[in-house]
Amino acid sequence: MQPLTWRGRVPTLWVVARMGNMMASYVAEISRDRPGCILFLLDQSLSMGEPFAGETKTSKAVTLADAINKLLMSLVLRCTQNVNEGPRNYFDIGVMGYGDSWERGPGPCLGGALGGRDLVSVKDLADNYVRVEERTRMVSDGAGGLVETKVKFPVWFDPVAEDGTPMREAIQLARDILRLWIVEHRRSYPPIVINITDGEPNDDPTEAARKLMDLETEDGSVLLYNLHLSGLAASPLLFPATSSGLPDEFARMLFQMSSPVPSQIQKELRLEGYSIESGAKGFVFNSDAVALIQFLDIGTRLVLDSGLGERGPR
Amino acid sequence: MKLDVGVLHLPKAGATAAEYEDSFDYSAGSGIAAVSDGASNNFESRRWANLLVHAFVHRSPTDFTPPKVLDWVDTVAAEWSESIPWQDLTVFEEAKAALGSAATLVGLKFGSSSLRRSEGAWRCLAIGDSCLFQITRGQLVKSLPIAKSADFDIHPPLLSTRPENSKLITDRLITERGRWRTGDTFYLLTDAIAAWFLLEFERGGSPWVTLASLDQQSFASFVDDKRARKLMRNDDVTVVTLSVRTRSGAHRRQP
Repeated sequence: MQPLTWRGRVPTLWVVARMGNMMASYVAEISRDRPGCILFLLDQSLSMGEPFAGETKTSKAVTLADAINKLLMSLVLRCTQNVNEGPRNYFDIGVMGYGDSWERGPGPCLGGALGGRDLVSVKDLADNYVRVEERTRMVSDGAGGLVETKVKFPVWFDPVAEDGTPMREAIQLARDILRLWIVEHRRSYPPIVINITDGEPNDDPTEAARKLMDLETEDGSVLLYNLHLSGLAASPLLFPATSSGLPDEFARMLFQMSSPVPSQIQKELRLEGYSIESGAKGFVFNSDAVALIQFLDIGTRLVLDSGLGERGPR
Repeated sequence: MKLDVGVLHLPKAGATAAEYEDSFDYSAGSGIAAVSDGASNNFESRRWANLLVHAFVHRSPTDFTPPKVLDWVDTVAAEWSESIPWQDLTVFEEAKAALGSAATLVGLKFGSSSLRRSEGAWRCLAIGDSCLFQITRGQLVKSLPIAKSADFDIHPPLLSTRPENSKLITDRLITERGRWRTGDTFYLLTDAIAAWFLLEFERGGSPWVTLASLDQQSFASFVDDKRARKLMRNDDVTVVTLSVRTRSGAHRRQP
């Protein structure tokens, strides 16, 4: 894998409020009083049962479920600070799947005791995983080498690959959920929606996406990030600033329905060594498994860093 | 020479006093003090910060060269690890604890032979963005390890409970020697209030005069006001003030 390159009269009060947003968006501190919200929309169409290009065994659905379970684990860890304290509720989290549209439609896909719930707290996640698997991973041996070690891997949901890609309905569902959440959290950092898909939707989701991105807290509009998983052996296109290099209408549609990356996050990405253009959008096309994990990591971690205002090793 | 020590501290707004993750310790008699800021996104960082300042004050490194400091950090890290009830941790606590903890440290030590004099030497060890400021005759004469308010960053180098992580920041350990004289005041501050201190100084102010006028109650109002006006980041704040006086307790008359 190549290293990634990240390239009538308007009421006065309304104007003032909008100007306030323009001057200082995406700067709200995330706290237990003002939690953040992360909502995943996961394509569970039949083609997700196929592997990534160049792979033969693991399906995209399995890779995605692993990546999301790992991300949920990292969110719980981020909020876990002391012995016997439990995680702090800095976030509300939702995981929605869309596939099988003719039967049950898009909906929540966490399993076990969290089944059927749109949004759950970090403490809910910590208290209600479905099972813990033992996985092996390579870690540093402290002397420049790697050693295999066993780690506990909590699982909250399992992969699904069914029929159809009802993305529009999934985005509408996200809007319904977040509209209610925002009523209760006007002063919070805006919700982040991460939509992961491997194919063209049944219906045009552009208008639904625009309405979703129109939702806002006092700190800015909902952020919609889109990641396209590829079955082709093509290089991933990450965080483009224009649609000029995109190969087709489908890619341009996903680009159009992606939010710009907030300037604070762009700054952090540059500090991490990525070359990212001004105006870059939260969009990845032709992602492979590596880019998927990087996208999920930076899509959430940098928000956590800036929102929680906490410091740590880079 | 006699050291008068004052401490002001406050947790982050929205956090309880029990969640305050800075730490400080001092011994006026031995002429030594330290402040540490535990990194909130690490595990048991208050415990780590407490262990670091306590160890610095009561058994500081024999010298402040990087190898000696790293050996010293390793012994303190072993105490941290031994204090964690590993068998009772949840799956998440265990995974987080395995990643270790991290904290800043700024420690100041007056030369032991100089405690009976009216002037002498000091040594400072600093890692991260907790700062030492020295005020002599109403002037800021030393600012360690950060000298400009713009240089505060959300990823400072930190001392870790994991030796391999602390080794990575060896070149960012700051050790410095200086001279003190009766009448000097030294401030050990954690980052949010240190950044305010330097910003105020850059604007032509004398922030040490402000700090000297505050008690714990007025300090809380002062910090609330600065946070509300976005002049201070919402974070735990700690101020340890060491005033060097004559043995009779009076400041030496300023020339």
